[in-house]
Amino acid sequence: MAIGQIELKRLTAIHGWSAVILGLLLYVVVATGAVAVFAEEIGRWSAGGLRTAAPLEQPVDATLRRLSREVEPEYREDVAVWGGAGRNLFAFFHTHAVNPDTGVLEDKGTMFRADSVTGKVIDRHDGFIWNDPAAWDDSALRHFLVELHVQLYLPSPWGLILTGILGLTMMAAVVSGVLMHRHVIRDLFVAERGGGRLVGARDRHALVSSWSIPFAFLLAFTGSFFSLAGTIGFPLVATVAFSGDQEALSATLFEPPAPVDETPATLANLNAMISDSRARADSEATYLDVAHFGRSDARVTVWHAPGHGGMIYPVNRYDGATGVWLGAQAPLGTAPSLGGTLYGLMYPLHFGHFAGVFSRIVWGALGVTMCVVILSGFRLWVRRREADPAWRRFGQAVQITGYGLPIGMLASGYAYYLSRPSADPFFWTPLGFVVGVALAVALGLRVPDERRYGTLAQRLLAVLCAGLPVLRLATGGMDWATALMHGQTDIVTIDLLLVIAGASLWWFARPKRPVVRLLTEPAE
Amino acid sequence: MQSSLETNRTGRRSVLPRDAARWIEARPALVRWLLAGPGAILAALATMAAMPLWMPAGAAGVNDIALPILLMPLLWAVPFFHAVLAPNLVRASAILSAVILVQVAAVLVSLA
Repeated sequence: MAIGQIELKRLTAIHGWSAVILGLLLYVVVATGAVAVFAEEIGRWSAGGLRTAAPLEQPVDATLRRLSREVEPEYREDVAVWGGAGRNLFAFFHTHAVNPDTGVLEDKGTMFRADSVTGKVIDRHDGFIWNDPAAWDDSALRHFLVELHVQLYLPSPWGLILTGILGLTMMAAVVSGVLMHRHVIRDLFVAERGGGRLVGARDRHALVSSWSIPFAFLLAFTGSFFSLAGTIGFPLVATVAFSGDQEALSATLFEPPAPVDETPATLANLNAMISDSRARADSEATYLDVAHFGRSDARVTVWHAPGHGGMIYPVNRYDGATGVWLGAQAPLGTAPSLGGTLYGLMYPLHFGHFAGVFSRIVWGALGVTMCVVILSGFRLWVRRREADPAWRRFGQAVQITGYGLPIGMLASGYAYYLSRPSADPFFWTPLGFVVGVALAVALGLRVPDERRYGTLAQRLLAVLCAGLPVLRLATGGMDWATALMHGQTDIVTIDLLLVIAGASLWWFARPKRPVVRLLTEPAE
Repeated sequence: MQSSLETNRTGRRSVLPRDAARWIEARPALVRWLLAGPGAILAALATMAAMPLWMPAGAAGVNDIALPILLMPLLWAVPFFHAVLAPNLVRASAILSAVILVQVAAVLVSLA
């Protein structure tokens, strides 16, 4: 389709103004997303204890049978089981009931956190537990960083709707950007023109944007799907197709029908089913669901990480009473379908864990690249309008946000480790983020000069990065010798990355010769 | 109102009544904002709601309920960019209005 001058102006306006209005929030989502790719590692680094195998790789049958006798009978309707950091095994025995506080149908039951090796119960929560993250997450730091990404730490559904809108904005920016740049292939290899000129800023933005086009579109699409599916999609489709019954819609999509038989029956050996499922999926189990525990119509479903060369999560289903394999479960419904395939691809493509740590490193790096895209775009916008004091102040706000977000995230880490021994880390961790951001803002207001602020912020970041592993160790975290001896390399890796980041940032913040700008150019 | 087959200012046959076409042509910026803003959102919601009625369910019986939710971002992006880039605003208004009205009507009939 040929794009005329008028259409080009319109696309440029959409591309620019959507970024100006929502770009800073989008930067928060993208930057925290790049960190959230490593949520599992951050969980093990911040809250993990010593372990030789993932919790669901340990025998869980005896533990779950014992726990099933300690809950209300109606809570055996559905049992969700997953592994946390360290040796933590979470088991949630629950039914569905209307929460009197919210008036909404929610999960109600008993959440256990147990040691996957000894079976000892470490913690127990009863009731409508999803509103209390301490009941189901063992790392307040991971929880905070993921929540900041998923819904900007705002209450549901507003946070999800906002991040959904940001995802659509990012998609609009990608498509308009592609349509605006007539030479996308050439822009993949553009060399930034030096001298601090405006064209150099444009070159930088065009270069990083061009390389991240497919990734940006993919993440925008899948991200807005995740945010808006539950808040808007499900209720709307349920209204039309199931008279508003979202449970019926969910059952049609995710729960293959099984004949009802409430006759009591002992559950078959879960360890055998998990082991069989692992062999079929060729990857470790990540999640287990037992429907109708203790009944003849019990069903056991086992989810796995993508196997070698695969992208979609393998899922196996078993007759709970006999332990017989009923077949691989399609991502949606009872048979392979276009909808099921698309749905099955959404998670691995968004989270980037289809090829183990390698794909997650690539996804994390592309996330950082996206941050450069956003910030370089702002820089270009402000440079074109730097004669206007209001836009110069906006540029200052962009710089403060650019540094303030990572400062805040690191500060939340400090608050987490300081509060973990004897206070509530779920309360103090977000507060630490606020303090970090406030510090960055105060510094920015005190030091309005862009170059000086940049240097100070980089030095602050350097100190925060390098100091965090020290604080982790000082507050009882696992030492390197123990971690390496037991193969828990994530802990050492993250510590080292923080130290290297700190050293690099300190080096970048060294005094430099001022850049001599060549001839000023009229804004294009 | 005049016949919908009157020619408009560009010399093409208008698909809308002449008064409506003139109103649209007199306010191109406002109309484009309306189409790309609330228009695209309404089109996405209307299509999502109506897809279970016209999309084949497929062999697994789930495509008609899964695809509207899965394709939500595209259901918004297509009318949005159509509104932004369409050279003929009268035709774009007619298309978007038809998409919304026909599908909303189908949903209301099915719910009744």
